[in-house]
Order: sequence, then C-alpha cells, then structure tokens
Amino acid sequence: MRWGKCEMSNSRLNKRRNCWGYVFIAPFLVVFVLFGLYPIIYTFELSFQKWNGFSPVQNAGFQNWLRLTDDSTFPLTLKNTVKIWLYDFIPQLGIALVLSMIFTFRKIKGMSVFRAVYYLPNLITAASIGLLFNILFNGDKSTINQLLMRFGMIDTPIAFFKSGHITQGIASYILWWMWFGYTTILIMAGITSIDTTLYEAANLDGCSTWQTFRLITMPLIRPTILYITITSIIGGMQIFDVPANLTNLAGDPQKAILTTSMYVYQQGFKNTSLGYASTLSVMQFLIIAAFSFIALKLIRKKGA
Amino acid sequence: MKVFKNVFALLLMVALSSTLFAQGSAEPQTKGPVTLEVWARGDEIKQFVPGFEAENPDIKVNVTVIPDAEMTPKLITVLASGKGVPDLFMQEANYITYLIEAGCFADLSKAPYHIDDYRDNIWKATLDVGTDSSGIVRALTWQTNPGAIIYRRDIAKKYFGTDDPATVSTFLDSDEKMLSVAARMKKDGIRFVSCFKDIYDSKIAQRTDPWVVNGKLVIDPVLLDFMDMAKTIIENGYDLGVDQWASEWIAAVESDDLFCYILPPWGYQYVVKPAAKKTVGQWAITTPATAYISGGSYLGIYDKTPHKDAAWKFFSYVLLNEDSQYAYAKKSGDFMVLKSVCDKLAAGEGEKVLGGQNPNGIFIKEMQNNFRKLNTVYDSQLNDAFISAIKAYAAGLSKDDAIAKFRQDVKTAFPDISVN
Repeated sequence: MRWGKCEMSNSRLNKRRNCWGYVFIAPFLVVFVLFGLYPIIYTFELSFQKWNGFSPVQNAGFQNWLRLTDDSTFPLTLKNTVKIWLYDFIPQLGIALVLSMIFTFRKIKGMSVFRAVYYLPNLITAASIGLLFNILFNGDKSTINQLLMRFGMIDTPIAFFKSGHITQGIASYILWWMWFGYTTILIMAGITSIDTTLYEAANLDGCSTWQTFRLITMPLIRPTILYITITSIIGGMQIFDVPANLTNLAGDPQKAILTTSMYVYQQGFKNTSLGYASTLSVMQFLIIAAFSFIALKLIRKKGA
Repeated sequence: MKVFKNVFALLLMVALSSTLFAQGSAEPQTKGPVTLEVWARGDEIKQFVPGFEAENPDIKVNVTVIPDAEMTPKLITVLASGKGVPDLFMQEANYITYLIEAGCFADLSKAPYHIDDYRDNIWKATLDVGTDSSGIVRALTWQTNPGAIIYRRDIAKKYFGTDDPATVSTFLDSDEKMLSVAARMKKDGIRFVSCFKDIYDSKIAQRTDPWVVNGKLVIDPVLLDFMDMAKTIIENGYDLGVDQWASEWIAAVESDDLFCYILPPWGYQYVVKPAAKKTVGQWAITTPATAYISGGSYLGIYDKTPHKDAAWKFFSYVLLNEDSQYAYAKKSGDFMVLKSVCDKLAAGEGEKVLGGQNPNGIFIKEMQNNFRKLNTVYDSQLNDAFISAIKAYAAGLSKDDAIAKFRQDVKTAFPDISVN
C-alpha cells in the first residue's frame, strides 16, 4: 500500500514535470510553427496556385508541376549547384581531415592561432565575400590581373568572368575557403572524443600511422563525417549569396553559376511567379531529402 | 518554495514569449504629427526632406533605402498582409511599369491629387513612363533623362582636333563613325565607351514596338543589328569589359584610357561628377547619335495610404515645386522634370567638372524630340535576358543560337508570352 502510494505520487510528479517541459518548449514551438512549419505548408499549397504577389491567388491545379517538366533551366541549375558543391566539398573534407590529423597528433607551435585563422572566413557574410571576390577578379584592371601582370605571369588580362568554368571554380573556391576551417574543427572534435587507449594499443601492436588512421580514426569519426556530409548537402544545395554576388543575379556567364536557389528567387521575385517558384522550392526540398537519404545509407552501409 | 518555483517558471515563460511579439506590440500613431513612410531606391530623395519638414512642421518623413532588386519582394510581402505598406514608394523606370499596372499606386488625377494642374510644365516623355495602359498617371520622377555622350575633352582634342561639344557630336553621329573612332582609339590603348550597355539603352529607345505586343514577343531589327555592333565592341575591347556600376566602371572616370560614357544626366550626377577629382574640367557633354531617354527614379503614392493629403504634399514638394527642384538640381547637377526649372538651369552657371559647360541647353534640345512609349511590365527581365544573349554571342555562340537562347529564356520566365 505504501509502495502503491509512492508509485502514484511518482507518476503525478512525472506528469507535472512533463507538463512544465511543454511549457518551456512552447516559445520555440510557437516560433517554429509560425516561421518554419506554416511557411513550408503554405509553400506546398502555393505550388498548386498562380499568384504574382499583387493580384488575388488563383487555383492552378497541376499547371506549375507540368511547367516544371518542360523547364530546361531547372535541371541546368541543379547541375550547376551539384558541381559547385562537389568541387567545394571534396577538397574541403580532404583538407579538413589532413589538418585535423596534424593538429590532433602533432604538437604544432601556434596551433590555436592557425585554427582561429582557418575559421575566420566563416565569420564574414557570404554576400560580402561574393562582392570582395568580384572586385578581385572582375575586369582587366582587377587586383588579380594587376598582380599576374606585374609578376610577368600574363601579358594580357584574363577575362575571368567570361569563362563559365573559371567562374564556377571561383564560386567553389570561395565556399571551400569559407567552410574548411569549420569542418576541421568538427573533425578535430570527433577525433578528440576517441578513447586514447585504442591508439596506445595500436601503437603497442605496431600499427603504422596510416593503419591507425584507416582502422581506428576513420571508423570512429564516421558519425561526425555523416553529420558534416548531411549538413553540407542541405547547405550546398541551397547556395545563393556567393554566386548571386559574384557576378549578377542572372548567374552569368551564360547561367554558369545560376544555382537552384537563385532560380527560385528569379522566378519568385523577378518574374513574380510565386506559384511556380513554390513548385521549384518543393522540388528542391524533395531532391535535398533524397540526396541526404542516399548519403545516410551509403555512409552507414560502409560502416556496417 | 514550490510556489516560488512555479511563479518563477511562469514569469520566465512569459518573458521568453513576449520577446517573440515585441515587434508587434507598437501601437499605431493616433496623435501628434503625421509620419510618412517612404521607400526609396537611393539616398537622393533625403535631400528634399529637411526643406519639406521645415515648411510642414506637422509632417515627418521617414525614408528607407531599398535596392531595386529587393523592392518588389518587400512590396509583395507588405501588400499581401496589408500592413507596413509605405505611403510612397519608388522604383527605377525599367521596373516601374509592373508596379503601375499592378494597381498599387493612386490615380494622380483624382482628388486630393492634382497632377493635371502641372501637366503643361512636365516633360511629356517622363510623364508617359509613369502613365498606365489606360492613360492614368500613377508615378513620376523628379529627374528627366535624355541620353548624352559624356566625354573627355583632352582625348577629344587628340582625335578630333577640338573639344567643342557641337563639333565632337558630328564625329559620333552614327554607329559606323563610333566604331571607326573606337578602332583608332584602341590602337593607342584607349577604350571608346565605358560599356556596350550604354549604347544598348539608346537602341532600346529606337525600337518601333515594345517587347511584347498582343502577347507576342517582338525582337526589333534595331536590336538584331545591335548584336553585331556589341560583339565588335566586346571582341575588340572597345569598352571596359565590365558591367555598368562595377567598381572598375566607376573608377574609369579618373583613368586616362576611357573616352566616354553614353548615359543620361544621371550618369553625370551619380558617376562622373562625384568621382572626378584630378579630371575636373576635363569632361564635356554632347548629343548622342540618336535621341533617347533612359532610366529615372519614379515615385508613386500608395493607393490605400491613410495619409493622402500629407503624401501629396511631399510628392508635390519633391516633383512639382520649382524652388525645391531648382535647389536640388544646383547641388546635384541633375536635369529636372519641370520645364520651367530646366529653363532656369540652362540660363545659369556652368559645371566645374565640365570645364564650365552648362549642359542643360543640350538636354532641353534633346527633349524636343518625340519619344515612343515602349514600356511593358516585362522590360527589366527581357532587357537582362537580351543582354545575356548578346554576351553569349560575343563569347562565341552563333547569332541564331543566341537569339534562340533568348527566346527560350523568355519562354521559361513568362510561359504566357508567345515567343515564335
């Protein structure tokens, strides 16, 4: 009986605690529902409507989705986005792995300074960096052209932004430069959390550095790599600020850096076709979800 | 203790929640002076505010500067909710037709507005841009924008033997002559024009029809011909190789290897005049090969503003008041919308940057031409797409493919337009 009373009071206590939990998450929940969930649901609804932002909304049925099947620019923007992201992400992960190994296992003088310097570009807004690189590369008298000519490396200025490949390369480089420091810090955190006795045992067993890295470090930081990959896919597939500010919002030259997010913006706010822009957004969301799912399966499968 | 904990938790929750709604807690102004909210595309309009507020102490004006590309998204947001819509807002000539036709600007001929009282004193071409398809005036700019060649006197003397504006214009009065001069200058490392887009703006005004007629895309032969001219300019490096407003484009004012900008008076006001330091006195203005108007910051009054009278007072102070217009023009070097002010400016002193030349007489003469009303709601997007097609052609795409690309871009942006 006494035990029963005690059980009952515990259950009440739990209920009360649960109730306060809801109260405390309420502010976040309200913000999320208002500014996160509602816009997502509304975007989905708008994808079946026609609206220019000024006149009343009209029902469009599947018109926007049919338009998407006939749109040759959308696949091009997807290709551009994936290309810019891959050229940024692969070197980013590789260099971050190398740097984090060096910083974790070697005693380097001024390591914390290096770490801070590598992280610094991440603190500057992407729009400012896009503009900065525009000044560095745009025009015959751009800083880079002046430097190359002064050092006798070229005779005539290079029109960097007239070549699609170079412009894509510059966009990828900027993103790599902005994010490799952040990725390094995440991987270092992952390595630091590995039990040091595993390394001591490997050392006693005569493992080489490469074997230790391949057989101990890599498998144990797989969750960190998975996190980095998924968040990078989500962020990378929505690249906007850097390419938008590097040349113009049209993604010139010849749409080489027109990303999917820029295209959504163009359709929504330049062409004021908000219904179709919503359709593109929903499609972009589905593609990001699919890519993230594939990455999740691949990395987990490799770890199994 | 338990009660204290509960009270504390409740207070914490209320405090956290209240931060969410802090933005919306401000009460609407019910007493005191009227505050007009103005969304502008630049700082210039702020120059009118102190004088206006001094004359109208019961009206305050709050100007928020919003770049062109962001104006429409922001307007869509506030117009959709009906809250926070500014009393007056501005857009560039390329974008203004969309807003005019969308019906968010008031009819300026109806009370309490009286634009018709000023019609005779306003340049017709400027009024046309702010007029909707049914003939209702809904927006107006304080500046008028006849095209002009803003050139370097020292370079003109070297190549034409004179820097006299009237004579210089005779050397540049056709496309062929301009390309020939450009080729001569290029041999000495001098770029003829700041950007091929300068000339594009004049070609756009020479079309017979607007971009879209009865739902059908019209690519005027003038533009097809210009594609070849632009390719020649880009390929041979007769321009700076950067877009208008790039840092190098502005910096070229002080360089020794650029001959001219082909721009309306705003080009002098915003580009040449503020940037000229060591080149003060080295510039002059003359007429272009063909008369045209281009650009302008158009201002309109929100159709549902609760401050109609105050909005009209500010609108008329900026655009229709001779004294404020004259004071602004004297300071900025701009060419104005009121003919009477332009006459007064033409009779005044010249500009130091222009070596003492007073260009207003030239602008007035240019405005005597008849300009076709060619504005459509698609202008901004279609002009950008055509410029992209020109660049693609200059980069090596065949002319037919570049035009096909342009048609495809139009189809993608506006499926309702017939492009074939």
